[in-house]
Parts: sequence; C-alpha cells; structure tokens
Amino acid sequence: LIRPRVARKDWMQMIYQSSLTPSHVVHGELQRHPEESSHTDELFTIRQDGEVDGDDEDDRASASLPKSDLRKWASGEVLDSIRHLFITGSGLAHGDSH
Amino acid sequence: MAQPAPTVLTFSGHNYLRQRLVLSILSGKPVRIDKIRSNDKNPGLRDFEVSLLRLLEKVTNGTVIEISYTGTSILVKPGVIYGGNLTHDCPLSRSVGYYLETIIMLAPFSKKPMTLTLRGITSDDKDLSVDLIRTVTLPHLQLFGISDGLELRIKKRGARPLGGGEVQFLCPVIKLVKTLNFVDPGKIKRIRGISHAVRVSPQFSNRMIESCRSVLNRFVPDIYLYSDVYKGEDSGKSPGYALSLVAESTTSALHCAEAISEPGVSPEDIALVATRSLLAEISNGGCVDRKHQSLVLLMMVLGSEDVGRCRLGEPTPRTVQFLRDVRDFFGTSFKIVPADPDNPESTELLFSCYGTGFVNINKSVA
Repeated sequence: LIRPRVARKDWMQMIYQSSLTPSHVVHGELQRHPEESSHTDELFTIRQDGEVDGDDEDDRASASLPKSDLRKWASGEVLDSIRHLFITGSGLAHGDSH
Repeated sequence: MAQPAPTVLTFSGHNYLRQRLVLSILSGKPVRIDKIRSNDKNPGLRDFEVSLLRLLEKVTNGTVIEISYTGTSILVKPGVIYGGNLTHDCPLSRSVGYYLETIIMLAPFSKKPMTLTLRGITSDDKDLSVDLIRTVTLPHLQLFGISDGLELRIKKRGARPLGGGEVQFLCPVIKLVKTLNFVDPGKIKRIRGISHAVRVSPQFSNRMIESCRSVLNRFVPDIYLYSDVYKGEDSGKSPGYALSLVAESTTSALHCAEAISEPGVSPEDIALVATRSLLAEISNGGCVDRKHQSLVLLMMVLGSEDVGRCRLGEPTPRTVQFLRDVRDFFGTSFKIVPADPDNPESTELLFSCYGTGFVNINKSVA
C-alpha cells in the first residue's frame, strides 16, 4: 500500500524551480497511454502532448483512479493496512508507532 | 480600481483554464491564454468553456472577454465580482459541478450575496457531483469563516446524457478570510453516503448501499447511507444512479469519493468503485482530500496576513499547476515540508504560506 520511497521528493524545488510538467512532478515520469504508442507505425502518427501539458482530463476535479489501483482494495490485507486511520484501529497512528 | 495598463499574464493550452480565470478575477490581473487546442483536429474552446466564460461575465461586472476568431486564444480583463440573483443553463457536455467548482471560489468575494441557479447534469464522472459539493466542498469553506447562509439546494436531479437537473447555490459575502491552521487529520469516526437512483428501479439504490456496507462495516460502526429518491419531474430526463461517500474524522477532516452509473455495470460494482476510491482517498492521508486541495490552498493564500498551515497528502498534478499559477498571480509561494520528517514511510506534507490579506473591497462599497 505505501510505496517504498528511495528518497524524499523535494516538492518545493520540483514545483517552483523546475520546468517539469505537473504530472511529471507527481508521478516521477511521464505516463504514456499504451494505446498511443500502438499508433506509431501508421502513416499518420497521433501528436504526443509535448507542448501542451497533459490532456483533457486535467481540468477535472474527480480524477478517477485507474481500475487496477482500485482492484487491490479487494484484498483483506490491504484493507487492514489502513485500519489505523480509523477510530476502531489500534491506538498507534502511523508516525507515532516508535 | 483603474490601474495603469496592468501586465497581462500569458498561458498556453486549454488545461487549467478554470483556475487561471479564477485567479485572474480575484487578483484583478488580465490573462491571455493562447494555443487552446491549436493542434487538435477540432481546435479552440469547447462549448462548456465558452459557457463558463459567459457565466463569469454574468457573475462579474465590467469583465471584458475577447475570444479570437478561431477560438484558440482568449483575453480576459477581469471586472469586479458582482453576484446577485443569476440563472445559467449549462451545456450537456459537462455537469453543473464544472461551473460550481469555479463559482465557489469567487462567490464569497462578490458585492452582493449570490443566488445562482444552474440547470443541466447534476452528476457525471468528470466533475464533483452536486452531492459532494453540498456535503464536502461547502463545509471546506466553513473552515475559512464562510458559513452563514451557505447552501446548495438540489431541486431536480439530472443524469447524463439529457440532464434536466436544477440546483440553487446560495453564498454569503465575506470581507476577510480566516487563517487556516489544520494540521491534525484525526481518525475516521463516521462515514456518510448518499445513494440516488433516478428513472430506474429504486432498488438499485439499496443494492449500492448493501454492497458498500459489505466493505465498510469492518472499519467503523457509524455508517449511514441515505437513499435519496427523486420522483417524477424532479428526477430529470435520463436514467442514472450514483453513490457518493464522505468519511469524517475526529477533527472534521473530510475525505470523499463517488461513482456514477455506467452502462452494463451492476449497481454493486458501481458501489465497490465508490467504496474503494474512498479507501484510496483515506489512505492518501492529510486533512483535506485530493479533490479539494486547490480550493483550500486558494483560501489560504487569500487569508489574513498571518501564516496559514494545512496538512495534505501528496498533491495532484492539478494542485502542482495551481501552486505555480498562484505564484504567478499573487506572488505567494508555499513552504512544503514533510509532515512527519521522522517517518520515512509517510507521504503527508505540511503546506504553509503567508496570507495576502485579501480584502473584499466590493463589499465595503455596498
């Protein structure tokens, strides 16, 4: 559930002092849709959103999570891993377990 | 008000249009946006964006909007936010949430209390549904001292594709925004939800509730899912159903999620999507959920001249661009530090900024 982190991101540096696109800042690398690359061998290639940052979906508040991200919540282990965020969970909030 | 030739801020691309328009109107700085889908096979502004510009024209007084012949570039010279009684018919390409999310950021700073009636689709998968705006977005404004008379009335529901819904948004006028200090996310103590079904069997709504409970019952006992039934005229022109969920913590932090009916998907599966999205949202942590990061950060920037602090989960790409745009319009940068520096697994961040001390000058004139 909680991604292993190599090093902490320096958010201020990435947001204010870099020219990375917003999704690059958040996800680390540019995420390409797989269907986009499948068009590359055709006569006309679909323009990649290089100069314009992102696609239509960026102007929406409800960024729906990919189905694959939601599927993991079917497992009981994953469900139990966030139990500490509820009042019924153990008294140890994450952060004060040590 | 008349400033000698204020500098025009220039942006390109159609993304983040709403936040740039809001920041332009609040800061009084003109904005030019170029290259709006200039490489698209169907270039220029979409109908919902044009409709939004028209709505902003209604809400304000003296705003000049110039749209180029091809629609690929616009120039907005903002006027004052006026408010008052307004009605707007929203095109069916986006729900009323698209417009409300924008107007909510402006309405508290208008000259007259706003009563805005919007007609169109009341919930879709792109924008916040009216249920979430009523139960989550508006309580977020209360953190900043905007509360008396703040209301969203859902008069009629309207599902995709034909809509037919109607909502009325009432917003009071404030002079100053309170400084926020919200750093304790607390623990989730209760979950509330609204399950609605229009022009389909009311049983769908109960099936969603059942399915949602099957997952959430293990976490907290205090779960109340309300089945909202609209009949006849009030149920709009198209069939549809949706489940919206809100988790409230001991410190009143709200996390929300929702899912809207899709063709060929059972109500149980829709409810599972909503439920799992809520759990994903809760696991992201922070005192404010991802859908409301921009709203809260904006109000912090407009807060009185003091340091406002808020603990958030990781920002979304939208929030990242919002932070950059805020710096361009207001010159305010946030200090962003890990909320738990000692815990390497924590991704939560502490955002703090010095408020600009924004004063609603329109109100004092009235």
